[in-house]
Amino acid sequence: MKRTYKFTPVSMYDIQGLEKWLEKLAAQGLFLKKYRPLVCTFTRGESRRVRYRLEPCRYGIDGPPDDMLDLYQEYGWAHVGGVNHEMVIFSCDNPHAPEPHTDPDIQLEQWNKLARQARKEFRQMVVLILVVLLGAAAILFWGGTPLAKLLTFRSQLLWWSLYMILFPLKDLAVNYTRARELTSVIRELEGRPKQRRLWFPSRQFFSWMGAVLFISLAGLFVFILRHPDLGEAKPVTEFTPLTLTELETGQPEHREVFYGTPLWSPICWCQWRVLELDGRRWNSEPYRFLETRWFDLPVSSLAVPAARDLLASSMKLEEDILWNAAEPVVWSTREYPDAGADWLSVADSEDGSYHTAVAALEDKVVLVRYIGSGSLTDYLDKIVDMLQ
Amino acid sequence: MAVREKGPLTEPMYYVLMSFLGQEMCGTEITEFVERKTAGRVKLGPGTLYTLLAKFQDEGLIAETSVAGRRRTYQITGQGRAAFRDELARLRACVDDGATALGRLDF
Repeated sequence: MKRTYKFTPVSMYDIQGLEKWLEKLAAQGLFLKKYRPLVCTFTRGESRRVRYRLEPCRYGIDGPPDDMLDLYQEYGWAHVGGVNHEMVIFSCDNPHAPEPHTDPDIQLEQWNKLARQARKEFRQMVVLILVVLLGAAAILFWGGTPLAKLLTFRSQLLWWSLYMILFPLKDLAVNYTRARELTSVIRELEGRPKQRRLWFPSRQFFSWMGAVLFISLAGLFVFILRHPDLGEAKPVTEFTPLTLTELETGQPEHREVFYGTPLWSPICWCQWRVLELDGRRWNSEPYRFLETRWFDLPVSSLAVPAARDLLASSMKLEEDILWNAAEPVVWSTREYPDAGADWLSVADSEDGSYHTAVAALEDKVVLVRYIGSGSLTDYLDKIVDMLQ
Repeated sequence: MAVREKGPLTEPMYYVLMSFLGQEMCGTEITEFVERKTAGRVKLGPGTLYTLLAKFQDEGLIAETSVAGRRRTYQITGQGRAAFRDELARLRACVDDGATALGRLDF
């Protein structure tokens, strides 16, 4: 049987609009085969007058209850499909068959039940979102260095967090719209004037948004597949990083593993991470390690607070396996107000093996973490130069 | 004490429950019974009837007895009969009160 596809021109909760649209198409010889919020499928046949009615009924994956379908069938109403697992579409081509609802109060009761359920789900979604947001806030603020956490967020974690926050937010908007639309249906059935329409997008908007999002993600996926070098080490162009060769004077024999990786975080879309490791001594203590992280922030007012957070976070020595210590480390910290930066501070461990420096100038911040026998204090000019 | 605690029966509910007093009934038979009994005043569509039957089943006033193809048959339960009696008594009291009040006025 020949199938025809048509864009759905009305919201799924515009009950009368949807019924009338389906009846109009039936009069043109198109009969609903499958309802979808965006595109409906029709089969072609001999044009005739068919009545369509949407009945409120929540159902699971097994479909609407058999006893309901049987009873409607007994009266000449055939089950055509469902809408969002909460409304059932029936059609009837017998002009003498009674309307499904002959008692408006009972019909209203059914819609009210659906609306109450929608409001309940909306409230549950609000609670879920609050829990997710509180969890995200706890992750960010735990330890008191939220800016450092936001700046050094791994991109995978970011995607995961976006998924965790954006999808429930989208569902929240969908549930809000659903509750509002169902309330409108009830007002209409009660014969009350329509509510002053506060802005809320139609369910169709979310269907279109979902389709656009899906296509964008598919495009991004194809782009990533076609560019396998994304995220790989590249020559650093924005600044000249410090090197272990400079810091470890007199020990030129070490082997360098030197690379720069462009990264991004929710608040900093341009940042670099440059790692250098003394490979010869990697398996034996103490190894030599130098990491430079460079950030170009969107606003300069964030630079100094971010720098302070980064230093505090760096002194915890707990972020990764390279910058770590088995025993607690005692630090001595010193600020250098005349070094040419808006803020510059260097921290050295008491035993002289761990060193970290953070500097901020205008909208740029640089963090250096170093394990070795040299001293970062001797390279303050070089550190400030990275910010120029 | 009233058997049914969810308030009085509405007119369609009253007649649907009444339809089961004589025999077991299926959907269209109930409609025919109600229309005949009320001379067409109360009409029942499948949506209204389904909601009422589901409600009665939930409250234990009727029970499904057989399924033959698409026809499902129901019968009234003891609790259903008691609920109907309660409703009848309530309606009688209403009618008596009304008649008394009217008689007093006429007098």
